[in-house]
Amino acid sequence: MSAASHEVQHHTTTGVDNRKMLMWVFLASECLFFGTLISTYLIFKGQSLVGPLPEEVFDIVLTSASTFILLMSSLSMVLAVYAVQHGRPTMMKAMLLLTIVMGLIFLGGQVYEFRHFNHIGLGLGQNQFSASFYVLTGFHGLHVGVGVFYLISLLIGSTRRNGLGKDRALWVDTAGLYWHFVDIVWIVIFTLVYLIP
Amino acid sequence: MEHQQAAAHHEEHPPTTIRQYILIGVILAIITVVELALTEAFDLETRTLVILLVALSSVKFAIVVALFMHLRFDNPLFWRLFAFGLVLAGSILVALLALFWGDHQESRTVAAYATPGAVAAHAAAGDDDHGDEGTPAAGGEATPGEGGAPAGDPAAAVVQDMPVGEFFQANCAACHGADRQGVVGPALTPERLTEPDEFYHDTIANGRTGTAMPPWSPQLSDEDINALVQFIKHVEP
Amino acid sequence: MATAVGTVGQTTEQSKIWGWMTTVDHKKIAALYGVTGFFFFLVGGVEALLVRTQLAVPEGTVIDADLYNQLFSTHALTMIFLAIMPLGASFFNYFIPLQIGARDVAFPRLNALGYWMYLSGGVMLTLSFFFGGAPDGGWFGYAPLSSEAFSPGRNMDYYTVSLLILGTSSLISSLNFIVTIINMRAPGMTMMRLPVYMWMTLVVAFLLVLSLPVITVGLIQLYFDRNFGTSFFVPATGGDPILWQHIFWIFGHPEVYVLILPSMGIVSEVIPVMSRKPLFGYAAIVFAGAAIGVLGFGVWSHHMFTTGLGTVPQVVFSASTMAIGIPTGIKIFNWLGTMYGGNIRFNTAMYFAVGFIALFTIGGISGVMHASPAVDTQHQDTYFVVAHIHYVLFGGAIMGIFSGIYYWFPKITGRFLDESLGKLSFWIMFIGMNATFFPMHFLGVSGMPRRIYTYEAGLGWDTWNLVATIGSYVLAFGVLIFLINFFKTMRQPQTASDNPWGGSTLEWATTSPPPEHNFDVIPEVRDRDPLWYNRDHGIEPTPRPEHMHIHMPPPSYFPLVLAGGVALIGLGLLTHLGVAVAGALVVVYGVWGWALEPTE
Repeated sequence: MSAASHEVQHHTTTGVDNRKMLMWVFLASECLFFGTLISTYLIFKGQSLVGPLPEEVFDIVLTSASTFILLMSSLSMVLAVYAVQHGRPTMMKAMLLLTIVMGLIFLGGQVYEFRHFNHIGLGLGQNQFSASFYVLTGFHGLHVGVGVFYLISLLIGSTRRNGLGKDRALWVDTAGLYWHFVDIVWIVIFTLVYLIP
Repeated sequence: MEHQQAAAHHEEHPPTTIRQYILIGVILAIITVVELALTEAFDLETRTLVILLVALSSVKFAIVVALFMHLRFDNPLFWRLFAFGLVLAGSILVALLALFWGDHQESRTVAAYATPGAVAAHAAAGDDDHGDEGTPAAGGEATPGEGGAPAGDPAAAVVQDMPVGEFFQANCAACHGADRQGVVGPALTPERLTEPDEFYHDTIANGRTGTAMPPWSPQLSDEDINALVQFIKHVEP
Repeated sequence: MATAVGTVGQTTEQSKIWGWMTTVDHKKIAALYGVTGFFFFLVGGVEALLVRTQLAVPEGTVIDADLYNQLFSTHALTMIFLAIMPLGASFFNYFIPLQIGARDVAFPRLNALGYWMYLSGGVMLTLSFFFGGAPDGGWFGYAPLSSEAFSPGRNMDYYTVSLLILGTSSLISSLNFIVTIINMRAPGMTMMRLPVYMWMTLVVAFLLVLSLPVITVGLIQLYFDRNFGTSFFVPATGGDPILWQHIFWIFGHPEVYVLILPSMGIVSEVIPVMSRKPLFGYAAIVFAGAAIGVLGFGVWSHHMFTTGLGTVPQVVFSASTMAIGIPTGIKIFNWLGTMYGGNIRFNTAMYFAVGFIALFTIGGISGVMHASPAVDTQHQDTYFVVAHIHYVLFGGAIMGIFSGIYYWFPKITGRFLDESLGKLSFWIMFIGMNATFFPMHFLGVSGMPRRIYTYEAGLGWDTWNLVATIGSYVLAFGVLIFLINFFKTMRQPQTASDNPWGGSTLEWATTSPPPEHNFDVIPEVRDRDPLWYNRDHGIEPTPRPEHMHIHMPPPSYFPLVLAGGVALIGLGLLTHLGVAVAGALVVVYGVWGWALEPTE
């Protein structure tokens, strides 16, 4: 089972695959990206000159549901990785599909939230809260979108004749790292933006 | 070389089982529910709430990173690389918040003036006005002094021996615009100024840190400042 | 150029141009970076000469204020992002695989993508002069000057968009280099046997990977302020211009270490080889380089001492800034220690290396001076800082790059740059550089502000400005002599042997220039100075085997496609969002093609 993916590994100095290392270094740099966006949000917290203010627009219950779905999508993603590492292609495809669906639901929730906020007077340039909120959560959503695209590509790739090739465990594992990262960023955003008063 | 390949083989599949993964997922969900409950259902002091929420989220974060992203079982190089980014991002966040903290302690925003405490604190400055929006002729002061408006007409007030409009042009227009539409400083027109009078009184008297707005007290008396506040809030440019 | 026996994936009918456009060979990509980077160095130089010409006399009328603002801003942007960093990238690209004993970088197509994105960003930034106006808010783009209200034209939009593209290009390349250096070293090459140049490259890559995301956010926020009505940095509606300064300098300070560390690495290669002595204190130099990298993230607010930070922040940042002088000093002493007692060969490469040490030290001293907030209050926004900047960047980074050019020229091209012309060029550049920038210390101390397009007569600034302008022309003449040397040399036949200087690092263990696959046999490394060790222990290089099945990655046009898509997105952000959407679709097509194309 894992002997198949074992053959192809090109020799590397540390023994880990170049692609997996690339993803980890990339995620380290993404910490700085989201760290700056979050810093901006926290710096402008309470500094809006006009409303609406967070407590007037947030629907914590809805966002909690969204958060829960994204968390569960991490579960399905790790199960997809488990499946491919244990040579269970059908389970892998099912779990990938489940992750994609939950990711899309999360995105749908974001789109709904943005439209609703806009409708009740919180436009992009309305105040400091709106600017920092939309840019932070918007770029997070963009990352989720890229992740969904990534996973759809993997899913389609896995249905082709040669599937994902001999490196399939690596591809799914690496995608999983990206997906989990997007989830942990949301964990931070949910707490600092939505929950903390 | 062989050792490296053996290590690679080991990282192929971490030891977690499906059941364990699902259990971890359940734990994550439970923690989220607890966070939600703490925020909505209990009436906790802000500082306690923040500490608890941050702690719980950190636990979730650590669980996902260690067990879903397999940092616990993978080559130590990975967590070191990730730590670089994470620690640096965290440090910069803390540094920036500390750098801006001082500024924000002094600046005033909507929220600060919504509380009765803030209103009471400024009653001592001689301002009787409780900041009702849209109250016409609020320029009538209880303590007639050198400045201040004749009852009912904010445009006719006198500040430092000149009509309030002229004073504005001479001293405020450079930053706020001759037409009060804003240049370096914000626009000061009745439509834009919807906050309580104390807010503007305080800004004029004490300035605003982090911006170019200087403090005008004690050059301007409270009556002068009140007159200016009424002027910008009720007189169309 | 020799092609290996059994190399897969090269067709011989490819046209030369298409070959260059689809190359994934790190050496060709290095050549592209090098030529393009040097071209932009000349562009930046012309921008500087125009600035100096305008300032030669008081009340100059050569250039109006508006154009002046564009010129000094683009001079800095061009030199930093389009010249020094790419020239650095050129050497990184060429020598990382060679010095670590690999055949290419970890991700050859990603490598190509980095170049093509750099080219599109550079073209956008330079052509902006003709299409709406080049950035004119300084390279640091301070708010609220950068906001829509005060910069209503396109200029600062070119700033945000081209820097976003250029930053992403550098980020991509840095990710590639980190993985390559950590993961593709030859057998026996432990981290502490890496050449110092490789260590500096690694630190630089980490600096970029960790600092570029911060400025990316800032640029996005500025773009939103200017185009979508937010007010991150506009005070009138609640924003904070100081936030921009923080975000910019959290990137900007590590960036200056990105500019100097590669040259420090080059000098650490040249000095031991030309002194015929191992580097003194290898471990200290490596740790000092890493320390500079780490500390570099902790000093940024020293650019903001006059913004009213408050006592505690000023003390903290002043202390950290002074501290960073220590590892720098360690390096300088170690270079001197290497030369001491050595059998020194004073060729042009060595001249530039020693020149680097002297001039960078002067720049370092003025730098430590403004580490004191009280002193900096006098220096801030005066020509004193301009003097400091140019001593460290020209006297430091550029001199180091020239040292590397003369040192590695035989390896890259198989030819030697003429030594007489080289030394002449060095002296003229050295004299010109000091004549231009040393007087700026005086100008600064006597109060001349930065970024002014002219000045009144009789303020005491006239003479030194004239001297500085004459110096700049002398400097330019020195560069011209180098160009003459270059073109003359390229006409010569390739005569260089594998190791003409007697170097110790692995790039000298193959032909000059190297074959596409770099090494016939990947060397086994037993020491920090592998070739000297082998020579001293009588170890012969392994002979070329009968049959070699070396697989080199095939060329690909997807990096071009992807870069084109990104350029379209950039263009769309400047014109019509529909164009950006089209660009995004091209990017998607490019990513899919890339993922599906065979690499075997």
